[in-house]
Amino acid sequence: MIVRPYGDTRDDGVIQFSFTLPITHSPKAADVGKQFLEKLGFHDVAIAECTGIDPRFTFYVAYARTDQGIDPDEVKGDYLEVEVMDFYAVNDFIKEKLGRKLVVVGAAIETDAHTVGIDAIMNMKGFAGHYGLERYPQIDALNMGSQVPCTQLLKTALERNADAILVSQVVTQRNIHVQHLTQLIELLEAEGVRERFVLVVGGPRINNAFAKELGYDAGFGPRTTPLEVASFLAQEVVRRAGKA
Amino acid sequence: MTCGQGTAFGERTADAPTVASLYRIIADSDVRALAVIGLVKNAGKTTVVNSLMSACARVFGLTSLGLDGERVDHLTGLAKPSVAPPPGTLVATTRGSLERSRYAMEVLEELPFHTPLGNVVIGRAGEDGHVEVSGPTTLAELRVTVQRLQAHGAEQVLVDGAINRLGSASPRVSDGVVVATGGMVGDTLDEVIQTTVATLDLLTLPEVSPATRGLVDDDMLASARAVAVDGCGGPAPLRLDTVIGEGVTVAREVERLDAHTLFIGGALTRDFAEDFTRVLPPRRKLRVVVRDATVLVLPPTTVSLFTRRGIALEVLQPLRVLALTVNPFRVPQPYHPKVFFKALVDAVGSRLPVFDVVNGLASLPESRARATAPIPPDA
Repeated sequence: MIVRPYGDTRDDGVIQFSFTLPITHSPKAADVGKQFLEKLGFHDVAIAECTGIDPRFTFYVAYARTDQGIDPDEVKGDYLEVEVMDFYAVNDFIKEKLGRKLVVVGAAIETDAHTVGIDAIMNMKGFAGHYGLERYPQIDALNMGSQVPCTQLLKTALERNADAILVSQVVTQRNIHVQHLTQLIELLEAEGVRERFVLVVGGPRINNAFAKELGYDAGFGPRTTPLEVASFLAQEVVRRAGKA
Repeated sequence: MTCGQGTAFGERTADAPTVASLYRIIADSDVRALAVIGLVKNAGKTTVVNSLMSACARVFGLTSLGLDGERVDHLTGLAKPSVAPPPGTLVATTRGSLERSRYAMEVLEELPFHTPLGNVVIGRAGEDGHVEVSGPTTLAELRVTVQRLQAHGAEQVLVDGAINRLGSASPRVSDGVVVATGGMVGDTLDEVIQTTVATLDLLTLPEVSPATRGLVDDDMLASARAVAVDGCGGPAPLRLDTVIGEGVTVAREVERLDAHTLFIGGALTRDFAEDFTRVLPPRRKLRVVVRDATVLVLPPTTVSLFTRRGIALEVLQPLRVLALTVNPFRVPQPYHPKVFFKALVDAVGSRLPVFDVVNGLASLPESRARATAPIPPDA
């Protein structure tokens, strides 16, 4: 079924915009904004707000209508198929099915100094109303912090006999960040221990297909909650244990 | 073998005679599982794989360690070449990729390999269409996937690499390698050449002599992470779970035992190379032997740390590097194809064949030793 944006009534296709153009505010500024939106293919453009916010910039709020629609069923993504459980269910699941604590080691690797991602997922206080992995009684979580060399992460994972390794990386267009992620995989393969760990990568530009390309078992993007990661880890580690 | 017209993929067309020339090298080499590895994203791996499949009538098997054939690169936003396997090609990809690319394929077998994009399936390519190719995640799974493709009748398996990973070149997976380099490898042409040459040096590290190989038996090599062989010829396994981060310890042991040969079981990292070569006295006669070139997880230029100190670095299983392909593409502006090609041929042209399949440039070494591996004889 095709759906359209809902403005005032169903299927009216009305969208609200807010944007800034680098022009000095003048009597014709409103028309500049209007014609810009028309160039994008919108019609019935109404400029609700057009204000100079600086001698050189004009800010707009506008409403406009689109004829475009989309069929949600036609959108094929690369979404991780994981049944998200609640905090207690995850712990019970691990206790029941695994019979021991699930061991997780996580870090932001190599030159990456961003701890926001790994902290949100692992630290006790958690993120967005969800406890971090450290809070789970059935998860033995170690957050090694940032700028951890791949070699150190691997050694720690081996020492703790970890089930899973979480890697957080802010991947920019510079190749270096991607290389750190593939370096860890090459290291695990060279050491012959790739199969021992569930490898998870997370970061603002990570998705599941990209995780596959890098050689990881799962990829989590922005707005991921610790609960999603915990649910995935519990199910995946149990699945693997069952197979062994 | 009939190598016909080049075919269109993405916005670029391969030059048919150049592809035929590259294909002949592969066909003559008796390599049955060819890994196409790139030094960087956008090095042209998929373009090479595509051109080989489309221009030559052989039943190919196709899989990828990474992810190929998606319209736009997730990271760089650049258009990627689409993959349109000729009818009859055996393709190993994931359920998720099939769904995403809406590719209809007769599925012959589902392999028990989980990936973030679902299980790996093997199928036979039908009529037209573009498919996203993403094989299994680990090298052990990749090896089985290659075997299954062969079992279903693939005469020549092509393994597209992943980003900059060397893994698929491992003798565990493939028996021949084509290396793809390109303008994105470095910021300057000099940097591109330096990294390319260093990577080729790394990939073509010489095989150990049978005499050296015989110093340690297979069981000990399989179980110990490091084995030092001293002047009296006795092998001494070092008590280590891994040599990672133990460069200093291993160097001291080598010194204490007065060893002339050191076998290393796992990965060789940059930290290890730096510590090891720093602690060892200069001009120490030593041979370091690793499993194969893919266990060297370090910047290729780091290999010179060993060679500069007179330490011979050798492998138990050499790789067969059949050719180098070059791609002048670079952001924001590509190199001039002929200038880029000539610069790389000048640097490596005497060692192995070099091709630019899109711009129709080829250089074959004078020796034309195309059926033999470019492995230097053991000293």
